[in-house]
Order: sequence, then structure tokens, then C-alpha cells
Amino acid sequence: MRSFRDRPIKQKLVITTMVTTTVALLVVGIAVVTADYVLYRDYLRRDLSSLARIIADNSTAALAFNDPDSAAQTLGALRARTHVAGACIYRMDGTMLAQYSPASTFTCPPPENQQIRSTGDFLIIDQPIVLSGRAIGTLVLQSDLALINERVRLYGTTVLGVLLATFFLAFLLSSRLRSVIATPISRLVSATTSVSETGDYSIRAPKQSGDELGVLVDRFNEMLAGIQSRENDLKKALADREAALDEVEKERERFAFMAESMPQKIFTASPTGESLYLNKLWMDFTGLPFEQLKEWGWEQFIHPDDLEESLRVWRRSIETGQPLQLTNRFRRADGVYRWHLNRARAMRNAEGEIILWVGSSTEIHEQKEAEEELRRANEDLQQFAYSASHDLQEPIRNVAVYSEIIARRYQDALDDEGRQFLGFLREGGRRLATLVNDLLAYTRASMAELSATTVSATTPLQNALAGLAEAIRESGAQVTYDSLPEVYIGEAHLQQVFQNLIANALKYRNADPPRIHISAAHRGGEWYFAVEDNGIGIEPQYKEKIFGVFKRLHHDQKYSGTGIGLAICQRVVERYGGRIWVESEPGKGSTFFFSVPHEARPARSAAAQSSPG
Amino acid sequence: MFAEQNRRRCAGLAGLLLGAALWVGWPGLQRATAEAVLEYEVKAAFLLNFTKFTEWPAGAFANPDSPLTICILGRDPFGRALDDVVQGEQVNGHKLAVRRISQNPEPQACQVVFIGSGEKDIRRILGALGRGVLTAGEGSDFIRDGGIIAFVLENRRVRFDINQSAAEAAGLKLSSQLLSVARSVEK
Repeated sequence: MRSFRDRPIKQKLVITTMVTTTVALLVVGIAVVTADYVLYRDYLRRDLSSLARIIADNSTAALAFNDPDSAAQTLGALRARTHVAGACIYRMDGTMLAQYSPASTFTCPPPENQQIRSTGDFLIIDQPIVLSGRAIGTLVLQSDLALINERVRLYGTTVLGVLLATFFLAFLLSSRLRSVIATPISRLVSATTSVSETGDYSIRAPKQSGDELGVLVDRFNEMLAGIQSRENDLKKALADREAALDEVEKERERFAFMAESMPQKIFTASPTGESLYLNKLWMDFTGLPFEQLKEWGWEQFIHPDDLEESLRVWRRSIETGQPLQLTNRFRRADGVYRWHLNRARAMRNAEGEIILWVGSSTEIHEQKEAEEELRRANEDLQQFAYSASHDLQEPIRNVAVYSEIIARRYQDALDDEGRQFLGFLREGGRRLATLVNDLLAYTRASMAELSATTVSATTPLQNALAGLAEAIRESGAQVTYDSLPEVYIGEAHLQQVFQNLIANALKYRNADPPRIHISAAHRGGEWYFAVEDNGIGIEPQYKEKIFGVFKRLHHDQKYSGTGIGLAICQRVVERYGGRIWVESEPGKGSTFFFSVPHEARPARSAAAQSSPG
Repeated sequence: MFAEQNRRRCAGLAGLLLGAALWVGWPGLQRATAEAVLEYEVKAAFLLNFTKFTEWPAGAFANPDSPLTICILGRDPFGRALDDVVQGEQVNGHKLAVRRISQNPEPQACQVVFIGSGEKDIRRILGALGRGVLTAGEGSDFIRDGGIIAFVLENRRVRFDINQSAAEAAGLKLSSQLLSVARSVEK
């Protein structure tokens, strides 16, 4: 049996209507029949009582004078009352005076001193017959309740008939109700079903009434419209997204193509250093598949001598996020190692966290070899210059010594012209000796082993000043200096730099006595030294030139020199990883600056060749 | 069980009302040897009952609390029966009394006068009685003589005839019920 809850609304409506109607009618019917039964019985009792009183009054004389005929006649008046089953008059002694019995089967019940009583189907009234305040007998009246029962039966039948008629009417009405309520609901249901089955949100449920169902249909349609518009929006958004993705994909393809077409080897790596992407050039170069190269696979083609340093530098960049720069050798597919310059930068998100490393490796083998060749040539040249100047010292000394001897011993033997020539010879010899000495100093500065220690800059400065004491005294110069820091540098080299710069300041002076001041400042991990003078100054276009070997701005006798002092300074400073430059205002003076890294590092050692610059 | 109870109660009632039954009249007893005695017991009861169905005119009583007196003129056939019957009775606020008289009573002394069958010249007696007196006698001749109520025997049952014009002449109003139980009514 299907539960009521699951039945269609059509049936629910019919069942509800029928049950309600039936129950209501049954209750009303029972109430009406019961009320009628009670009222009618009550009425019957009252009617019977008054009837009994009248009959009793009318029978007084008959009883008083013992006249059964008269009494019977009086009782005969009851004939009009069909519900009276019978009546009789009893004397005081209980004997019967007269009796009325329409049916022959009637037997009069004996009197009892009860006003009214019911026995089975009968209602019995005992009415005393009174004469002058004294009871002289009793009238017993019996009414047939069958009439009431008949009435109840009639009512019941009527109610049943009405019930059946109403039942039928209710059924017809509920069919009508079905079309008013259930049909719109069915249509709404079929609309929702077709929407959910087809996914077509343009379907609308038909509205048939202005009641709650109508409102429901309206709301349903509004919801559908909302869904439809949202679906359209969604479709549009999806299409936009598709297009955007398409564009992204195209962009990605462009970038991929770009990366693949680069003459450099391109790579990306995760924040922890695993290679994610390698362009085709890597595979072409190494002859290895991507699967073997990805993540840390690149270690296998690094030159064994470079591997440790390469890993160290790469890990340091990963830890600090600083850009990577590294030169090392990669093994080509044919087993030949080739120099590469590797650079990489960290890509960061909005929070500043590293999300990707992007880098390139450029083959620099040819440049590297050319550089190496150049370096060797330079070294050879320096070696040659050193050897030459060293070897030249002896003959030049001989020239100087013997020209001096000639000048001392044979001056008188020479004529004026001869003495003039000898003077030229002595002067040339002296210049040659100075030149060779300076050249030797320069090549020494280039070649001598660097032996740095931590030293107070004051000591080499004071040594330099002591060496220049004669020149300072002659020029009347005033040399001052601040307290100087300790630096990590070769003491002799620093003295050489100070001596050359101060000598220059003394040399290129104007009419005033020179004022020279030496100071130092710490900036960006380096010490900066300044040698300031009030000399003739330098034109801006010569600021670079003056550091070249044998470069002299002044060729007159006033400013004698070989033009090698600043070259030596530059050589020394650069070898310690610093730099040297000049700031000047012509006619007012110059200030030479040079930097010494806080912890000076070797700039041109062999190890530096495979280290990041 | 109820029937049993009812029967017992009926029997008790019958015993209690034995005395009353004597004056009401019992047909069984009427056929007994003491028929004559019983006849007058019935007639005594009837006499009493007549007073209950009769309205007397104003002035029939001397005082409002005067007794309603039933007078027996001449020979008394009732013995003690009438006295017994009226004992303790009241009609319309009047106590009942029985007097035996030998000649016509004075006005307002008797409200009912029973004239026995032994009296002669009843017409003269009746004529002499004033208004407001209910007269009762024996035999249908009594009505002819101008009496109001006459006892007659019919099938050994005591019945009575009524002369309504005489009653009206006497200023008495007889109940229609009384008329309805009379054997015949003269108008």
C-alpha cells in the first residue's frame, strides 16, 4: 500500500476533500440525529405528561363514581395519538377501572409511584388522579418509542442519502479543484523536469492563477531567468577565459620559441635549485636527453675541477637570492670541455619570495682563449720589459759612470763642442738610468708577488714622506694628514702609491708653496684614500690619459719625469681590487682618490679566472 | 424481579386501602349477602363525591368557614356509613358534617339534603327548600318531583340521574364531569 505522503497531489486533493466532507457530514449528521432524538424524546415526554394530566383530570368523575364506561370513553380520546400504545385507570386498591388498548396484544402495566419510566421500547407515565387534593386512583399511559426509533431511522437514512449525494458532489468538486490546483502544479513539475533533463533554462512554466501557485510559478520563472542570465554570464566568462588562456598559450609558445631559438643555453630552476626547463641547445650541446639533465643532472657535464666551486656559488645564490654569475667548463657531446659564462636571476612574487630562477649559459670559450692568449702575451711582454730594463741597467750604468769619469778627467782636453757633447751624453745617460729604473719599478709592481698583511696606512705614508723629505724641504710644501685606518695590503705597495701621488703633487705646483693633505674615508666596504693638493690641476680630457704608461702632459723642463708614476699607482691599486681616479679643477688643484677593499682580494690570480667576477 | 417487587407493593397497597375500598364500592362485595348495607356505603361515598363536583352559590353558607353539612331528612338508611365517609374530609375549605333532620331545615343549615324513599309528598318538601341546596333522593321519580340527583340501581350497580334545570334553579353549578358520569341528565 502506497503511503498517503507519496501519492500525487491530485489524489491527495480528492482524498482530503472526500475525507473532510465525509467526516464533517458524519459529525453533523450524528449531531442532528442525536439532538433530534433527545429533543423529540423530551418533547414526547412533555406531550405525554400533559396528555396524561388532561386524561387524568377528565377521568376524575368516572373514577369517583366508579363508571368504567365513562372512563373508557375518556381514554378513547387517546385514539388520535398514534404513539400511545395504551392506557388504563387504576383505582386506589390497584384494581383496574378502565383500559384503552388499540392493539389487542396490549397489557397494561401495573401502576408504580413513578412519574415517568422507560421499559424497553416503551415510555410509561403514572399520573395520579386527584379529587379535592386526595389521590383516588392512577392513570397509566404507555407510549411506544418505536416512533422515535422510526424517526431516528428516517433521519439516519436522510443523512446517509445526503452523505452519499455530498460524497458524489465532493468528488465532482475535487475533480474541479484538481484542475485548479493540481494541474498548475503538474505543469510546474513538468517544467522543472524538462529544465533539469534538458538543461534548457529558457523554458518557462505557464502561469494560470494569481494565487500562491501563481506566485510560485512567477518566482520559479524568475529563478530560471536568473539562472539563465547567470549561465550566459558564465558562458561568456568561460569564453573570455578560454580566449585569455588561448592568448596565454600563444604567449607561452612565443616565449618557448624565443627560448628555444636563443643562441644561449636557457634554463629555469626551482627556488631550491632543481632545473625545470632547459632549452634545446642544452640537449644538442651535451648530447644528453632532458630526463638526464633536469634537476641536478647538469652536474655530470661540469668539468670535475669546476664542479665544487660551481655548486658552492650556485648554492650561495639560492640561499641569498643574489644574482648568479659563474664561469665554468661544460663537456660537449664530443667530450671536449668548453668555457661558459652562466648568469641567473631570481624571479620573485609580490611577497618577495623567490618563485623561479631564470638563467642563461653563454659559450665564451673563444673569448676566454683569446683573453688567455692576451694575458700570456702581456706577461711575456712584461717579462721582456723587466728583463730588458734589468739587463739594460748594467750598460747604462757604465755609460753614466764612464761619461762622468770623462767629464772629470778629460774636461780640459775637450774643446767647447766636445764638452757640450759630453754634457748631452751625461744628461742622456741620467735620463736613461731613471727611465730604466722607473720601468723596472713598473714591471715589478706588475709582477711582484702580492703579500698582503693588515697594516696601519700611517706607516707607509710616513715612510713615503721620509723618502720625499728633500723635495718637500726644497719646495717649502706643507704636508698634513688625518689619522689613517688599518688596511689589508702590501705595505711596500701602499708606500709606493703614496710616494708617487705626493711626488706628483710636489712636482705640479704653481707659484704658491704646495699644500698637501692626505685623508681616508670608509664607504661601501672599502677604504677611500684622498691625496689633495693646490697645484696646477688637470684638464678634464686628460683625467683618464694620465694613468697611461709614459703619458706626460708637460714636456718642458719645469716638470721633469718619466710619466710612469701614475701607471705604477694604477697597477698596484687594481691588483688589490681597488681603483684610482682624479678629480680636479685646473689652476686650483687636484685630488687623487684610490680605494682599497676592506679585505683586499687578489684580482688577477689564477683562481680568479674560474670565479665569478 | 421488578414484576415480583411490583406485585408485593400492590399487595401492600391493597391492604392499606382496604377501608377506603369499602366506601368506593367494590362490585364483588355488592353481590355479597350484605348487599343492602354495601349499597348505602356506595351511596354515602357518592354523596360525598357530589359535593366535590358542585359549586354552591354565594350565600349558601352562613360563614366562609361554616361546615358543608349533609342533612338526612327522615329515615336514615346509611347508619354510620355516611359519618365514616365524611370523617376528615374537606371540600373547598369547608369541613364536612352530617345532620339528621325531621323537617325542612332553615336556610344555610344544610347544603346537601338527602331525602329517603320513605318520605311522602317529596314534591312539597323540595318546593319548600330554598336556593343553594343540593337535593338527592332515590328512584327516577325523584327527578320528576323536582329533585336534583336521584340514585338508581342499574344491573345492581349504583348510578344516578341528574336534573340540571332543577340544579340551575337552585343556583348550583354541576361539573360537566359529573354530568358525563350520570346515567341520564334532565334538562
